[in-house]
Amino acid sequence: MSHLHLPDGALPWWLWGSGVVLSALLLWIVSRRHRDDRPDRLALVGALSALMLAAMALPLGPLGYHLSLAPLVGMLLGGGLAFVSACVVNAILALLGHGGFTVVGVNSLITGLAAALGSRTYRLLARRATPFWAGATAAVVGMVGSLAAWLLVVGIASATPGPREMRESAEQHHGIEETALPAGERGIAWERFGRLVLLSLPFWLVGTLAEAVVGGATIGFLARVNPSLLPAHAREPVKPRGLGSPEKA
Amino acid sequence: MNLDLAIVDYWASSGRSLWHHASAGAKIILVAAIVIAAVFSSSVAFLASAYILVWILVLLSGLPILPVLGLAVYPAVFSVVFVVSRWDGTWTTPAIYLLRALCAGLAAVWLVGTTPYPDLFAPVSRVLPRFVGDALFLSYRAFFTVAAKLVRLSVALRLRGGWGRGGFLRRLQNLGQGLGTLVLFSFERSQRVYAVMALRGHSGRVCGCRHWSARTRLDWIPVVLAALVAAAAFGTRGAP
Repeated sequence: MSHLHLPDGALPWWLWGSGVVLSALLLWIVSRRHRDDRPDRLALVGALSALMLAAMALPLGPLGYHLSLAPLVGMLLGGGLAFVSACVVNAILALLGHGGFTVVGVNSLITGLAAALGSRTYRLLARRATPFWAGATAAVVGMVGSLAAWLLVVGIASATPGPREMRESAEQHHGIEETALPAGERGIAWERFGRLVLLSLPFWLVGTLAEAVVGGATIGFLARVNPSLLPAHAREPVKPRGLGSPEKA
Repeated sequence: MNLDLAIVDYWASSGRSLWHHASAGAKIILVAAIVIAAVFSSSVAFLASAYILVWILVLLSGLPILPVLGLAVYPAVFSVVFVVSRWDGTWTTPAIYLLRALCAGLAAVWLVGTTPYPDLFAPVSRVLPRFVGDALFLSYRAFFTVAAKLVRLSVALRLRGGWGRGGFLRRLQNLGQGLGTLVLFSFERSQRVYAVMALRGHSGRVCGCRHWSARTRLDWIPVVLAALVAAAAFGTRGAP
């Protein structure tokens, strides 16, 4: 998997609660910004969200390894609308047990970050690199950003007490539970975090490579077939290979 | 290809059990109670009891056991990374993390397997911004068309040697170009959907029906169960 959905019960309540609040705020801002868009823009968000969902149903190998297409959708829709797509996709996936209900906000922020970074990077590189490399680099930047966000979330989760530590803390402090590991046990948090990184990093590396090649190939295909669909190439169609510029001719 | 969403949608539309006739609002209350109780509980006994309760709900709903079992295992797969990373030498910590995820995941599958999507999304879209609520409906509708196209694309790639030759990177490139055709299809589809919406007098909002809030005689059962789950979770707070 190029992304790992967080399940219910893995994060402390204040972390997933913050994710829900932040996601709701971002959704409100994006909705206000796009409230006067033509309805075909809304239909496009629906169609590309469906494409993300369908791509996740296409297994690429063992253990249900699949693409997320978040950076690609970011390049096509822009960061804001791609975040709406990420929220919709994560909400529908939560109904099927792919990721939890309570962590839809955090999962959407992580997926949305991949889309937003992919979108920004693509716009920066579109005029400086070939469509394939612009798309592939944007996908890599998006995936690295979302990996950093994912590691930050699980790192914070590792530094909070687990069920056993919470119970012991409540017994020692007459019902008051600690919300962070004591200073003497910080090593435990680093050990847990290290284990998580070791377990997940190989999956992320393969996933990022897959997202980069697929994203680059899709952008390259669209640049050849219908460049007007690509925001950054809309005004300057890609020239066919072997033909010089009109000025030189 | 794994098209769980299409299968679950079929269960929700074709099922005739008591739970299929209960209102979506009452079932959402029950599932919300189970999920919140599971996430906050650290009692293995409570979590195991809640998981058994959800399996009873699944069995009474007449949902096919094996496919539900397949869906019910997903949350455990996602939890394994967390379980291993938080291993503290006891069996209770892994059990708590696994049961929390399994309980919430199975409750979600039960809800979506007994409730057609317009009834399920209508109350949700009322609390979401209009743009997002509409995107939820349109994404779900578009999924079945796009997924059917993706199945055909996958078959075509295999038949024409695009999936078997040239190594992993070449295959991914072929897949990317194939997905490009699906992006083109998605753009064309969005134009058609817009035209249809305009023809049908789209007023700026995709309306879910009000059926979700229509009360039935069975609604007291999920509501009472929700209250019992909440009370049990509170009662077993701090228990092992």
